[in-house]
Amino acid sequence: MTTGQLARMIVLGVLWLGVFRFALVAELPAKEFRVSGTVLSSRDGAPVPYCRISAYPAAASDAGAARANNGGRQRFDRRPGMQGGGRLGGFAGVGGGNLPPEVTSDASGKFSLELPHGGTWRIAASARGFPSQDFEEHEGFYSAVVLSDTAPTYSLKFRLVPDSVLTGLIVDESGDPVASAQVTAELISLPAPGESAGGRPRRVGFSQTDDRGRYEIGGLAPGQYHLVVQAQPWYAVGGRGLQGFRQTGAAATASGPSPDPSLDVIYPVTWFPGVDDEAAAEIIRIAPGEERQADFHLTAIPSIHLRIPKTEVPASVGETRGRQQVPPVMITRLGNDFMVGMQRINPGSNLGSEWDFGGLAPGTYEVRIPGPDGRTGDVRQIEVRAGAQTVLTLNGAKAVAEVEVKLEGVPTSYTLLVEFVDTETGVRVSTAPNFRGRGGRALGDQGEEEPESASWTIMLAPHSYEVSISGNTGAYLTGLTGEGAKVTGRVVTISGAATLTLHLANKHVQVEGVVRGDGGPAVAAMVLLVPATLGLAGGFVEIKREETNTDGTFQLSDVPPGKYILVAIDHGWDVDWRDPATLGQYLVRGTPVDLRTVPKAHEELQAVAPN
Amino acid sequence: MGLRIAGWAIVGVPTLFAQIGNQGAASATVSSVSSSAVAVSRTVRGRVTNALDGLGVPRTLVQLNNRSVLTDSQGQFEFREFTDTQAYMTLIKPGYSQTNNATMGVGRQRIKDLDSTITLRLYPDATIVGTVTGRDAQPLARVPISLQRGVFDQGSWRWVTIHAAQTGLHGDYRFRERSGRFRISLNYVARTQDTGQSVLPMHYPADTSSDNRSYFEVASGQERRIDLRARTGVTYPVAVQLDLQDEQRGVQFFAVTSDGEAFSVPPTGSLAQGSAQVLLPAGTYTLHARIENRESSMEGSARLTVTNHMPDAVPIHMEPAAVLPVELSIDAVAIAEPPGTGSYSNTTLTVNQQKVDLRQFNLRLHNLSAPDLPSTRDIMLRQNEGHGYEFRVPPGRYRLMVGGGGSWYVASATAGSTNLMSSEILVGGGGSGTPIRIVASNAQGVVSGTVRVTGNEDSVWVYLIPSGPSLGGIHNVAVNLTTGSTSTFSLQAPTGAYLAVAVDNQIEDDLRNPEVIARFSTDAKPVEVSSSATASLTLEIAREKKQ
Repeated sequence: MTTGQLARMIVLGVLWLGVFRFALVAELPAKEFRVSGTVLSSRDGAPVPYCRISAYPAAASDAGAARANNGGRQRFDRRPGMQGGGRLGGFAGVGGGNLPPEVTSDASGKFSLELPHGGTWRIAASARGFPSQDFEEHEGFYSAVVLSDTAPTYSLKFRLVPDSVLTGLIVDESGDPVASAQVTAELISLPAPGESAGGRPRRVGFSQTDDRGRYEIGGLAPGQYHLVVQAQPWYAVGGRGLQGFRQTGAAATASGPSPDPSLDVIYPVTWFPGVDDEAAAEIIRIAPGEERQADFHLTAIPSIHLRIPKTEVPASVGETRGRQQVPPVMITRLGNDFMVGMQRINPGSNLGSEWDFGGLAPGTYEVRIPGPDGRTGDVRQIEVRAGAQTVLTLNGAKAVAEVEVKLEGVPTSYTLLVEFVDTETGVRVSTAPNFRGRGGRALGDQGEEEPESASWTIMLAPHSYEVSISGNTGAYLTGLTGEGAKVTGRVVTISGAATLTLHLANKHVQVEGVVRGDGGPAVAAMVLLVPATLGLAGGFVEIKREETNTDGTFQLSDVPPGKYILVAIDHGWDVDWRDPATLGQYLVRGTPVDLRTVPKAHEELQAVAPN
Repeated sequence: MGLRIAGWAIVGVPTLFAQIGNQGAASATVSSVSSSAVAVSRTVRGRVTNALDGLGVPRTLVQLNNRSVLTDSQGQFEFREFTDTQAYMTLIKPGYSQTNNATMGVGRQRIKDLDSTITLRLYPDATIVGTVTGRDAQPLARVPISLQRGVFDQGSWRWVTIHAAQTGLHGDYRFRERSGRFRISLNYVARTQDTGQSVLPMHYPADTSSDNRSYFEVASGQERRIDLRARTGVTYPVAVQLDLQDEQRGVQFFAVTSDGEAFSVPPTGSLAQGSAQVLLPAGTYTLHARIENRESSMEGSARLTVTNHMPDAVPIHMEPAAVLPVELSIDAVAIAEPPGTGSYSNTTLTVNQQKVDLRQFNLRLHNLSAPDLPSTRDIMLRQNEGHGYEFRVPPGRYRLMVGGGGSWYVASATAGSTNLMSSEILVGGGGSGTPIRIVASNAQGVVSGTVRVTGNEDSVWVYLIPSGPSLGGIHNVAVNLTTGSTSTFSLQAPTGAYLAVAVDNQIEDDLRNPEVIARFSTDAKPVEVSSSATASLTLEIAREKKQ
């Protein structure tokens, strides 16, 4: 290299650091870091030709946390009418404007990818018919390839799991196709021992039917699914259900007749194979690369109406007064996860002395009637059941209790979500501290001492709930106390006004280690860190999992202090560790680890074989 | 821009009237229908038929004012005890439309005779299906594809995106829409999700005409299969360096291929100190960079050849756009007549307590030289720090367009000695350009008259086409069809000379084009609109001379 070339390179490097570094590494006759191998289909072991392989630096310290929150594949089939799709595929996570090292495999699936430096690398691959996935990806975890000066290259067999697909046809009661129906695939995993609010279905795929009533959800991982459809009869009038509700209010009174009952209909939220209750839904098991057909036959049912006397609704509802708008009556369908639809229905149909809100499907609803000042108001919960009468009043609604939620132990700048899951119905109520109440300051604003506690008020129907927190801050629940409510472990029973205090902590221990297998490091083994308090009342700590890298290393960086049992299972991703009896068989072969007082622990252990 | 276009896709006739009304150019007067004060209760009966085969269409939702009913298996419907004096009907049936008019949908239809059996027709939609494959003939899954409808609105042609979708897992796509003139577009994809190949943008049919109007037509009830072979390849990262003094927001890149195809190229990652990275397939391009934000408007471009090894950043010199101030004054006629006090600044005038603001005319400069990208095509008027108005314009050739005005209209527009009603504007780089002077007027007149009809027409329309150069729209109004051999109309329009034409179907062509007007000239009549007297006309329904 001439001096001129070098000088130019340095100038460029200032503008373009990545290029500079890349070029410099390429120029120096130092170590050559490389990942090579063959891409094979996990279904039949056949090589996958022309596969796109990219490498992303995996910072060892935050890999675990990133994985824990990522929680597996999050792919959405984007169809007409869906938002999104604007991002370039595969670039999420690439910052700074530089592209990751990338290569395409040859016709026999072989590839060799040069890397600019050593360290831990996440290797991702995708091909036609194979969704993008990481090397040894299991349930959202992956095995990072570790390269060092002593082991600068690594050769691997990358088993790609083919795309699984759900398709089907949706027709209505007269056999006509239902267009624009929303079809959602929910991935189901069973709750683990001690896992709070876990194991609930997670939305992983979405599609909208075309004019022939057909849908197609691709990019699915093998697993167990629920399939659920939401749609409105195209001919429905007099309240279009909660989604796409049309005001028919003024019109309905003008000429007297209420809508023809045969047109005042809705489709209940329908799970495969045609039930309106998730508990009765069929579990669809999908094998790798499988294309499963699941058809629906939707049957319209009479739309259920809620009538509220006008005397209970302030006349100013929905009006704009100065710059303030008095909120309308809000009827919100409460449901699990995505099924929550917040809708403003205003003013409803005018029936003389009552407001009429039509288009309700069976389910649980929260009815919020604002007070005249637009702030206070009345909140009720009402159960709408199929087959019952089609006109409901608030008489049957449960008064909702005012519950004060207090957070203690972590700065309030933590963005936390507190979740209350109804132990009986699974209905989830999510709530977050009302930060806007603090003078409209954004979170993490400088110049203000962060108080170590926060409190706000929510409305809950008298039920039993399991309490959990989520958020990407690493805070965890250590205790739950209540005034005016019965608390057992994580479960709180509300019977009236109450104050709940969530005791939180954010102190973490880092656990790292190496797992040995037969004659070398255990690659892609499943590591389980199981709290010794598991199964005991008042146990708040959950099981942590990790996957070992290509050198057998693993790292868990967000572990609450406590006593644990550590166990690594080689080829253990099919082990049903969520089953307490199965887990017990592995725990007796595990290593006890005391993490009560140390900031960091290093463990070397032998992998156990699956039973 | 995209949203605005989307809004047009659902414009029905009633909304269109409102738009014309807003322009202040035309207003429709419905002649009074004899309505008795005593409510009559009657049964309204009718049938919905398929316009192609005459068969009844079952399960069609028929809305009569605020009542609804589904047709039976024969397509028949009935509303009992109907007491309203005016009746409007709307039909809803998936896969059908109330019209096969290529440009406009139909909102509700006025029903005059409620005592006879009403027959309403539905047109089955057109279907467009196909598969998108790459250069290797393999299907392209989940790539964006859109369907655009070619429409004439206000007498000029434009493309309206009516469907934006993605191909299915087997590269398939499917659109079902009201019949009309269409084109299909594939957007630029830098890297597909599965194989990481790039997809270059394309239109079907390819643009061969200079006016960007190549379309294919699908008639009502027809299915058309269009398989597309996309140009796919490998993309390479290209580093770009803009010579910016400060950090700038809102940088857009677009590339123009050597054969003139233009597409926007989203930069990957952040744009720090003017450096960015884009992904492009191998080939030679002109890469344009444009900055459009509150503080500045800049533009620059560079020629580059993309290869698999591009160690140096491509420099792009950014130049500020030219500033064209826009000033408003009021036509002397408007101030004097009716008499009143007028006060005005350069941008906002108050005449008889009526506020006239430059913004209400929705002025824009239509770029005639830029590549065909919606984001680069029209320059909108903007307010500067001194509360005046201006256009910030990259070098190029432009035409001034007007899109509104309320009861006011643009009577003249000039830049120096150039009359912008008939001439284009040429803009060089940088600095301040010649101010654009707009003279607004509210002097309007009324044209009313009758059209001789046979009674078999579904609808009759009267068009007023400005005879001389004009920035206003073409004015049209639906004629109120009454029983008998004549029907009346009344239209309000800015003063001036016009050509009036009555037709029994809306004209779907460019009425500013003299050749198009010539096709109707036998039955067209000249008319002078003045503010002092109502012009009166009797029109025959024009028979278009086929070319």
